[in-house]
Order: sequence, then structure tokens, then C-alpha cells
Amino acid sequence: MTDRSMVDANVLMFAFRKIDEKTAADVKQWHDASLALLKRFNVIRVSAIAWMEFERGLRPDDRARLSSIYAKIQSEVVDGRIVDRAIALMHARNLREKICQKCKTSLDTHVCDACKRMISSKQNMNDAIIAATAELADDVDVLYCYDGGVYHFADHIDKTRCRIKEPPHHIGPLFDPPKHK
Amino acid sequence: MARVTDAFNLRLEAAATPERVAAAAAFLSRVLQAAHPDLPDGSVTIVVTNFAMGTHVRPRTHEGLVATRRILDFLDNPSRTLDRDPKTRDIAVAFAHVDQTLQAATISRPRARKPVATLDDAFARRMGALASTARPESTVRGTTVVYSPVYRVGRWDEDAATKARIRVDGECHDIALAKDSNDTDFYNAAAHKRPFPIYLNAVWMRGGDGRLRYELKSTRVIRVDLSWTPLTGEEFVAAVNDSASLGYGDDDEFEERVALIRQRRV
Repeated sequence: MTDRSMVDANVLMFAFRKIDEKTAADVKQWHDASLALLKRFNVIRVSAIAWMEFERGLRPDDRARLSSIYAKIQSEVVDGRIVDRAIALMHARNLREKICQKCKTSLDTHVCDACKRMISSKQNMNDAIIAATAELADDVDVLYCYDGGVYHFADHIDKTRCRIKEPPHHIGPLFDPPKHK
Repeated sequence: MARVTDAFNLRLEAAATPERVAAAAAFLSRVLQAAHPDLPDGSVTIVVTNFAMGTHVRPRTHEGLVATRRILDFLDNPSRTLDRDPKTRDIAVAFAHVDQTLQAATISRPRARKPVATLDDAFARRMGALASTARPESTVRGTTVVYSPVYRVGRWDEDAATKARIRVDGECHDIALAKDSNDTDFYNAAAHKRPFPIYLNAVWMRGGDGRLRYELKSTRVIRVDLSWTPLTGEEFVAAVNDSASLGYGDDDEFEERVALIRQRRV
């Protein structure tokens, strides 16, 4: 079932982020869910761009060791067709959202919950390429990700070909707590 | 022998003087060259009639037939043909520069009453405008990798190209191997019955919906990577934990992503 799926960079990031007692509860949950998801796969399938994003956050020594592992996963290359589709997804998104023509960031701003400054969502080409890769792969039904960036393209990709979902929460409560005793 | 319906006649209501015949021959040569740049010598012949100069253009080979058919298809609907195949822009360029000697000449199919084109100034201007309009290239080429088992390898006969049956875009297709590819690797891959990375010299054509699709007749299989042995999820997690014991460490990137996810959930 899970082999008709791809994972985004943040699933890899959460899965391999070291967790300690100070880690926020939601991050812990995303770590557990990502790790459980990865373990279920027969083959790890990921866009080359997503792998690049993941590898960028590793230490240099670790990166060198990881190259042999990269050769043993199903890495989806970025080709002309994927770039073409990614550009179309960017255009489709820009029709709905007002974008600065110079820096390509959204004119809709929000407050960063860490530094409390007003920031705008980046128009991330990487996210468009990852979404396009999953959509065009004939044998990918689900792209698992947590990222706010890739989710912006969820409404624009062909949902009959691929959906964007978060990894399932495998250790959550079996049922909602009863409201009345 | 090609069908007569794929021939055409360049007709001018004037006597077939040597100058006019030479101008017609030079013009037709340019148009045929634009329609089929690799047209072999002897693919098309012309038969010239006398008083009202008729120049009958007839294909003699398959290539000649392709060239004349391309010209007639273009003249039937220049804009549509250009949209479908931007390479026909060269035909528009050739028609935009008609020799003054051939002014008001007509092009028609054999036995047809109505000409498909009249080579006057208005026609030349229209062709010039079409030729100068930029259109997106309908074909995209590049290398790519698909993961698929090699189901079969073989060829129809000794002269045919060897083809590998692989899964592309959800369906099995027989795709020709590139000339310098190692056929033995593909026979070995077929014996293993499991997916391998297969490298393609791909050609994609833009469909009516604007999306690119594989043009499998022009796509070639370059090589198959027999050394690829995938890790299972369990093996992958163990291998990454061994190799990167400190885990994912870009704190700024991580915090930014966590903030974005939390923001989406609000």
C-alpha cells in the first residue's frame, strides 16, 4: 500500500531529528509518525530536490556517508516534463495569490510565531517541483509531507493522480474521550 | 508510387517562359526544402505545361509524399498547423517571399476547382506575420530516469531496432534501445524481474491540454543500472541512523519549517 507513495524532505527531517525531553510535543509526534511511515516502505521514494533539502541540514561528515544510502533509494530526477509542470503549478498558484513580481514572495503577510515579525510566505520553486514530481509519477498516489510550502500546491495538482497528506498518526488515541460520564 | 491527391499544381495565367519556369522551380525548391529539410534528391518531380503555366508537383518517394502533404496541410489551415508543429514556421517563411514573377499564381490540388492559396501580396503579408509570431516549442527533449522492470527485450526481425518493454506513464511500452546501449544488460535485467533505474533519452510532446507527454517513437532507452538494489524502509532508517548519528542538525531550517506547519494548522 505504502509503496505507491513518496515522501517530502520534512518527513525525512522529522524522522532523523534527535528528540529529547525539551522537544515540543507536536514535533515528537511528527518524529514518531515519520519514522513509522518510513519503516513501512519497501522502497524509499523521494524527489531528488527533497533529498537535497534533507541532506543540506546534515553535518558534512554525515553527508559523505549518506551518499551510499542515496544510491539505494528511488530518487526521482528532475526532468524537462517535471520543470514544465512545476512552472504551470506556480502560475496556477499565482493567479489566486498576490505575488511581488520582484522577490516572488506572497503579499499576504502573517506573524512569525518565533520572532513575532511580519513575514510573507515564500514562493518556493522546490515545493512546486516536488509536488509536480509526485503528480506526474504514474505510480504515486500519495505524497506524504508536513510542509506548508508543498501544501500550497495541493489544490492545483490533479487529485485523481496524487494527493498530498500528512503521515498517519499511528500512536494517537483509539477513540475520542467521552464527553459525558 | 504516391497518391495523386498528395500532389499539387502551381498555376500562373501566363505563358511558361524560361524565366517563369526557373522562378517557379526555385520557389518550389525553397518550399519543399522548408517542408522537409532532408528531402533526398529525386523525391519530387515537376511537370510544366505550356500556355497558362501549370507546374505540377508530384511526389515520387515516401519522403516526397511527406513534404507535399506537409505543404498542403499547412495551406489548408496555416495557424492551426503552426500551433501543432512550430517547425512549419519555415514553410510560412518560404511563402512570405514569393518572386514577383509568380504574383497571383495559385496553388491547388489536382482536379480541384478552388485553389488552396493565391500567392498575392495579402497572402505574403499573412505568411510573414505568421512566421514572425513566437510560439512555444511543442517538443521538449532531455534525459530522465524511470524505475521499471524490463519485461521483454527483442526485435521483430534482423533489420529492426532492439526494443525493451518497460513501464512508462503507467503502461507497458516497447521502446527502442539507443544504438550504443548494451543489449546484454537489458536481457540480464529482464531475467531478474524486478525494477531497475532505466535511463531514457526522452522526447515529450505538448498535448491539447498544454501538458507534456512522452513521445515514445522518438524516445530511446540508453542504459539500465543493474547494480541498483533498493533498501527497505527498515534498512534505510537503520542505515541513516548509523551514518548520521547526530541526526538532522540545521536548527534554523528546522524551526522555520516547524513554524510554517504550525501556522498552517491554525
